[in-house]
Amino acid sequence: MVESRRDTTAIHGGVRLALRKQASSPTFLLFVTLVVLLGVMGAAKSTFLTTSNLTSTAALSSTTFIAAAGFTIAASAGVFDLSVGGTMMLSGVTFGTLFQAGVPLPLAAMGGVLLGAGIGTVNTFLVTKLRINSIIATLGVLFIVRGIGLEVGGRRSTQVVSDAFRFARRDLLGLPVPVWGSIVVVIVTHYFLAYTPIGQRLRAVGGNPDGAREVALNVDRYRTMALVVSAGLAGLGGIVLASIIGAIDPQGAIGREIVIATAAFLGGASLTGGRGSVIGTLMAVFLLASLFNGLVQLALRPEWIDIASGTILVVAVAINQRPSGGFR
Amino acid sequence: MDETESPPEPQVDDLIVRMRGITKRFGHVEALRNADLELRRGEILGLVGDNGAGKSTLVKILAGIIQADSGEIEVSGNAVLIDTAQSARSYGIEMIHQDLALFNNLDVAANVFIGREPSGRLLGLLPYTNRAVMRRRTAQLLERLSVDIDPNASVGVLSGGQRQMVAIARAVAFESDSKIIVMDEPSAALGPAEAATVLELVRGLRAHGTSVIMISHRIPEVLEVADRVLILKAGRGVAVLDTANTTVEECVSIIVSGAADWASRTQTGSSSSTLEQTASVKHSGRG
Repeated sequence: MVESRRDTTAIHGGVRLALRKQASSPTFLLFVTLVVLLGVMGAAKSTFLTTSNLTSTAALSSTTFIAAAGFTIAASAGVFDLSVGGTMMLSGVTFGTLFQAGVPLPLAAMGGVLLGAGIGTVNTFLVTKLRINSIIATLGVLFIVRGIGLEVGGRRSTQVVSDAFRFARRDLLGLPVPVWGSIVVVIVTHYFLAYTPIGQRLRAVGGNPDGAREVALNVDRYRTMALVVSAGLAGLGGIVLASIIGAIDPQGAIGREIVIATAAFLGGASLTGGRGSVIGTLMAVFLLASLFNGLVQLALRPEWIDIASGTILVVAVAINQRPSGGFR
Repeated sequence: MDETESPPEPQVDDLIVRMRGITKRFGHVEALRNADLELRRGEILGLVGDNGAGKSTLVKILAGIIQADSGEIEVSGNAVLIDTAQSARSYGIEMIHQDLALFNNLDVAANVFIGREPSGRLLGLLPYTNRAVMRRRTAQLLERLSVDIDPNASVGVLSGGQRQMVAIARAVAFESDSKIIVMDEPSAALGPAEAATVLELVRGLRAHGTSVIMISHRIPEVLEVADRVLILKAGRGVAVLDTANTTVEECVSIIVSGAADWASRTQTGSSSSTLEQTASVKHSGRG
């Protein structure tokens, strides 16, 4: 373990030395790490670097990414939404239940997203009205939502045997539907965060809330927006997940919030707020999924996956914390 | 000194801001007790007083950051309700806070235009921040202020003086809208050369017709740049002096002992209670 950690550090050190000028962004470092990982895994296992394997990894991780994009937006605004895992589950359950009850697919999906936005509204109330720290508030909501899901849906998952419901298993123009979903979400959310006035204000509110108030920004309004968007995207991710599984699963997406938060922090988000890159998050989600996939293919015990994920997170955050690290 | 023609009784029209009977409590602490402030059109009003005298509280009420418990505010003769920074802005009041309210995670241009970003519509539909316009106007603004800062630089890497300049640039960026600029200790964190530049900027604002309220601990600096000085003590205004007719010693004496003593004590402020005031007096010598 000590040996392998030293190796990782050495690799990072070498990359940093060679590319000091260009390597100022965590996104770039993440890209390098991802390429190195894919290279190493590809060399170790011939089935790894194949189009079909990479595509299926992307498809499976897309639900995580869609929710993580929302988490990243909220983190940029200085609020952290740990309820996303529960929201994914309950939105998926709502989607499936509505569909089973005969509601047309688009309306059932819209119902799932609206339920997500509703959970976001509850989070907003706790954070902006009751002034509860967002991590604590959304952690509480996570448990409440999980409990509601089990109460309403029971412990067992129910198959939804319908090709329409399982739209996310299909391909479109050679790519799985969930991958197209990720592509649309990354374009829209990155544009929103990086290029619109509202995205810039969200980052200002996250970076310096007191200062934002002093320059007449309505901090609570921007945080409300961020939390509702985060929960809405978690709802969308939950719908795609339900469609991939093809079932109503009240036990689904357990622990997903941890993967989502890990990806956002790997991608450059900061607990102090004001930082976050949707593109960084996208790469981090793919990195974690590839790592998982690769280690499974190498037939390593699951413990190793946790150890590797944790190590990557700690190293990446340590690098991102340099003064020059960060978004833009 | 420059053109300080000061009639003894100002016409009501001359006042751009009048705050009357402002009271503010924080728990058991009475920060302001029936305080008044009058700002004349196109003047620089110095606001001085000991720590805790209520200077920052008074101007934050004017800027909408905190709300008074009671009292009235008039802008250009009309009674106004200022309950947010946004509403203060709508009356042309712009404040430069002591903490500067800068965003280290954004660049200089974004800091200057935050909340008032020039925007366009992509394909006539999608809103976007027009960074080209933002950069160009920031560059022009900084040039006008004779400040050499890259609009693309991250604010997190700037020096204290440069940060102050960015905050000033933001306050004056919409000068046609902002008629009143409030500065809370603009020179406190600066070295002598940078402080002198800031004072020059403040004079420039007055030359443009802007009315300025400037809080400062450095009495000589206030006397140098301001037209009048309002002295607060324990939450109330105790004296308003024309800077042309007063001295550092007189100001310090009032700050320390209040207006009641002021008439009877014409000597210098020998009983200065804090180091800070002593330093100010030493620094100045005699005006």
